[in-house]
Amino acid sequence: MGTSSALDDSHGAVASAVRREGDCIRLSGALRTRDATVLWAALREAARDVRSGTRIEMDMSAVPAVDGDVMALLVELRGQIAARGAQAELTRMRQPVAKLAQLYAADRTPVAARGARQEGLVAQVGAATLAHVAHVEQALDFLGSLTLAGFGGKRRSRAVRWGEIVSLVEKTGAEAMTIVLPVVFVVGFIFAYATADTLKQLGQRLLSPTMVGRAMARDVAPVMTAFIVAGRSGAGFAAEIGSMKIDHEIDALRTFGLQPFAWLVVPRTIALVLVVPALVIIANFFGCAGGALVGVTRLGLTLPVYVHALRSAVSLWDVGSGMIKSAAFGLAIALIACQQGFAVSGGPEDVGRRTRSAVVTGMFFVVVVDAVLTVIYESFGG
Amino acid sequence: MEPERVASRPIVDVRGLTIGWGDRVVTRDVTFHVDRGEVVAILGESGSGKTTLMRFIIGLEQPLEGVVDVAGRGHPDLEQGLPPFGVMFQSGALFGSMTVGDNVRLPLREWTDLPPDAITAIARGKLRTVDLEDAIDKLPAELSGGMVRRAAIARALALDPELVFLDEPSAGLDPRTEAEIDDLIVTLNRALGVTIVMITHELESVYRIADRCVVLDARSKSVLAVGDPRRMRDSGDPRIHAFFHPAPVSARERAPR
Repeated sequence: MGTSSALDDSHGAVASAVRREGDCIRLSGALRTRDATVLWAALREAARDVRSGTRIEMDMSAVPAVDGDVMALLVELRGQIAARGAQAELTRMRQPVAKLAQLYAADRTPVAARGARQEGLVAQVGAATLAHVAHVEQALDFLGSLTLAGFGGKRRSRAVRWGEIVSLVEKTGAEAMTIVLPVVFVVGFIFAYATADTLKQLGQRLLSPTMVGRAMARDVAPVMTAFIVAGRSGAGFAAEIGSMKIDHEIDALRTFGLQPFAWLVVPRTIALVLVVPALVIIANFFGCAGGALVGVTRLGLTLPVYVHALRSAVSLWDVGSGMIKSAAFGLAIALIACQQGFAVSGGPEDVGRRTRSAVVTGMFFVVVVDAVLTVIYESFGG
Repeated sequence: MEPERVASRPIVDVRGLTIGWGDRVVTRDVTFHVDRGEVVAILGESGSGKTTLMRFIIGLEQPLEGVVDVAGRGHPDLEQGLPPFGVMFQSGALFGSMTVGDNVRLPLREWTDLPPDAITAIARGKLRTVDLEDAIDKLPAELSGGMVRRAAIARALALDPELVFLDEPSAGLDPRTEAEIDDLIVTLNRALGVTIVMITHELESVYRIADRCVVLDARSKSVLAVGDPRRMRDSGDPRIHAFFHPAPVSARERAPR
């Protein structure tokens, strides 16, 4: 059995310390991962003014035990000191610590001191400025870590990952955009074309922009966009989550105390609730442009007349009601796709089956939600 | 009463555990414990429920019967934050959309307040311990099976857990890499005091590094034996003896009639 008695104090109070004495950084106490934030700030502070050409000793004689993460940080610090043209060494390590140092290659000399090379004036000014910024950052970090340590150090895992949401919005938006825009343009064109002759016979040419504009804003653009998002992002979500499930990545997430729902479903849902309405705004313009092409070429309307007719016919509520629908479509598509992904069991063939099902069910629910919201709007007089 | 259990509470304590789903029992009445600082191997032929047993112990599944206690905190509830152990899955289960480095950084980002440069330094250090420092910016798909498994070990160790579960860390690796993984496990155990529960098929590894082992039996759906593998090797019990001295099929066919 390999437990050293020195490791048994793991439940004691923070007893580690970092002290700079001339060319020696003296470490003492057990260096634990849970104190790593404070230790790292203290280590960098202690090594702040190490100048090129000096040799720094990191005295480990008063350290009974080191956790792996802290050993990795000690090695990193040694590398940073070496990069400044100085030298640093871990010395007087006790036995289990020395063995660990070997594992982390802390006993090997770091490769060539990068900072020793003579640099040009601009580079030097740049480096000095960066160093100054780094020092300010270090000071703030240190202050921050002390404050956090005061509150118990370790925070809880984040509930919402905004960075992930931003990248999902970019990805899903860009994926759908290239198909949505040409499709709604053509649909607007076809719609106007199919009704053009009838309107001409009735002498109601100006009704064309009204019909195209209102239909586009209220239903056509939201539904077409949602169908395409269901086909691209919905399928993508189901396949991605399904693969993660069969590769045990979801299990791995859980063993890190991370919740798959918060981690995978929440960001994807928020992303689609934002993306579908945003796409619909742009799709409205393209759909109307398709209609305008027919207006100008087949109905003899000028572009300013067409635009004027559109603006007076399409109300803010027409656009707004379409946006509300779009957000609801995004919500439905994301939830269905994620649910299908989590429902994958067995092998890769089930990923394919669930992916298809995510698209079909997603489209079906888009139509259902559209019908329900249309009825609700009508009952409120809109 | 085993004397060592009086000294300190075991880090893993499994008593009368029956695993399975609904009417389907995989293994019944599993009882064993793991003391702090031990290396314990879970052995058994394919289909005997080794991986399933691990999934039940670490809280991914709910037992049909029996009691599991890990680190004195009862059966792990993975909904309640970071559990006190790291896990390496058989497939590696690295997050395919992230680089190897980000896989190791992830738990550190989620559960520590370390600045990004320190997190990267730790990730690089962990990957150095498994000889994968150069792969830090690669995607899991670009790695070989052995490399994926080593990266998964590095990720399981990211937060320096006191207990690590390893599911077949060296299966299918060449003998040299297998020996390196064994060395790594021994070093983690000796230098860091990490308790290790590993599932394995490699009997040589077990003799070399395991303090004790738990042998599962597929036919009886129960535990065949618990104890020191070096002593079990010479066991008089024919079933245990047969497990530790597997005869090739051809030899069995040629056995005297």
